[in-house]
Amino acid sequence: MTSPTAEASAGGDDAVAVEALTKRFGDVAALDDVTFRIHPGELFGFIGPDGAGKTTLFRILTTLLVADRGMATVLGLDVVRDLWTLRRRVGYMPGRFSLYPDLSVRENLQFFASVFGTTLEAGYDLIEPIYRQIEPFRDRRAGALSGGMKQKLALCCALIHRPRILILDEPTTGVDAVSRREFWDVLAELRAGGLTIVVSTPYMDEADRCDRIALIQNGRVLEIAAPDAVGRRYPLPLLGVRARDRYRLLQALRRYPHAHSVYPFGEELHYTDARAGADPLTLARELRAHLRAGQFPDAEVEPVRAGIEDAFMALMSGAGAGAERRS
Amino acid sequence: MIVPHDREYGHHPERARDGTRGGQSSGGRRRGDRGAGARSRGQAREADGGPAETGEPAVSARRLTRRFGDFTAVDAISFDVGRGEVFGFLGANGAGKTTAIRMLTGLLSPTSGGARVAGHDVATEAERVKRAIGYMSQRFSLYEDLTARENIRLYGGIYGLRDRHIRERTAALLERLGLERHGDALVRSLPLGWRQKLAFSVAMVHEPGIVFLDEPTSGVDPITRRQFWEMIYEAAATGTTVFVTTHYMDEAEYCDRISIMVDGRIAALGTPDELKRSFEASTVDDVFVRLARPRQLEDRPAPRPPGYEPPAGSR
Repeated sequence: MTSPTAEASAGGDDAVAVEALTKRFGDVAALDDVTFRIHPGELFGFIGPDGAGKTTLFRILTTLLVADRGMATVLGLDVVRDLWTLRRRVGYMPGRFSLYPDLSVRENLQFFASVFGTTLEAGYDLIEPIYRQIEPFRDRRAGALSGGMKQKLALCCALIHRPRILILDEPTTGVDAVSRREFWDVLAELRAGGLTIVVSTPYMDEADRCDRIALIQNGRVLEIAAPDAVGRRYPLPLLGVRARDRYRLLQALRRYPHAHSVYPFGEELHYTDARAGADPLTLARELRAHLRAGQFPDAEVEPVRAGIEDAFMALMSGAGAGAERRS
Repeated sequence: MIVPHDREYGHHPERARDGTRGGQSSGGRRRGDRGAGARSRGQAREADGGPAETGEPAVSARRLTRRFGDFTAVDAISFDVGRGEVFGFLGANGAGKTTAIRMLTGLLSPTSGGARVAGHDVATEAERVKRAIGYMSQRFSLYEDLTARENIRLYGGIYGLRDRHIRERTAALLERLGLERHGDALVRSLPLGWRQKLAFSVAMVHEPGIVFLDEPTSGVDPITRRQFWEMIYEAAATGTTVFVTTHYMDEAEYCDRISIMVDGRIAALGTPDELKRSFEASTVDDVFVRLARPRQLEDRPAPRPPGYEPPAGSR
């Protein structure tokens, strides 16, 4: 921070810089002392469940809400002082469908273009790859589009004024697995074009599509890292366990004396052993022998790499912020 | 819409007794075990003796069809769901899931074909179907300005339970949820995870033989999501059929059987293992993508009518 070069890279060059941001609604801390930086050109994801504070944060970043404490700059502009300049440079796609349902696809685009003092034609090359997919329905009312199409139109509207940064609040919530993948493909293309993208999602499996992610829960950032690194930092030995009778296996594993936690994970169970630093292979052999000697002759146990959800759950319980905690 | 004297169809004393006997839980859930549905049906036959409980499948759809104008949202689907089965009903947005569920829950009448749910015909006995099932929607069906206790009482009353029975159920439900101390808190003030579990309990307040869960875990944290699935297992272990939709593909793996709807038809149906084998895929997610992707965007210019909106004229 003291050397001039560090100053330059930490300050003006960040696409987003947030320092000790706090926002309360009544006695609920929607954001609690949140600090992070996002680099230009980064695809940065906020991963966390409903009520984590994602929307509040995005509304502050897009100048729609003012924080109680702390500061935030986007593209080097202060979100409070420079709001009018900033609004012209940010593309924002709110979580709720916020287009005009009675206007057609084309009318919505023209409207958003005119609000920003531009035209559909002027912004066309940027939105073209996405717009091409909805162009056959350009005269259809936006309200009559399917979910996936609405989402693409909303993205076009957020891009039409050539923003320097795109902020997307849960663009894939409630969207099926296939459409979600396609939407992330679109984001990857935009990122390749140099756009900074900040996106939030409750789907942990989408984290891998981001350059870096922040895990967020109850208004606090639990961790910021590259998706790979989050799993690598998992603090305890993690084993994948399979047997035919999964529900009974779950209960049996929870009774195992060294169990730290056991959760279903798709077709297997993820068992975390409480013995930090122990060799996972040894633990796996030991646990398999234990299960096979008991009621699970078909048990398979092997060390697995922790994913984002494993890490998130460990951080949640580690921070004392269990699912049952009142916000 | 509610027929108060029609109590017997909403509440099954036999089922309640059987549930506490734990006949099925002794065997545990047979996760990923082929034929789980068939076995559940067999067990259910011993368990149920009520008038509407004659051992037929919990859901039985035969060429169930719904058209809106010249658009066919659900196209002659046929399938059975066994008693006590956890049945995953998957499909891309607009594939026809919501329309199908609305028909199965008696909210929308079929254009042709039909279905029996909990022993009743969805077309001719829609009111009985509604009373015999539990339903929890994507977002909650709870009243946020009422307390947890009041919500349970409200729904118990709607389903025609007697006061004493409601009191007993309320105490039991709050205890099971660990909510005894928060029974008088406004639902609005409860954390999301609790609300979700309470919504599930409320959907089960009249001890229905089958419960429909429409994206019940959407947006909740990963721990709560898993706790919710344990509630699903528990319900299934006491003989309740669970019919569930989800966009989380890992949750599809937790189901006894899953169906995948594509363009109004059921494109695949089987246990997760069967589907993975027949599609040579390593996860249900891969199966889903393979089925749903090809036609999803290109060939499908017509947007789906939002299912239950009035057709044609309104737009």
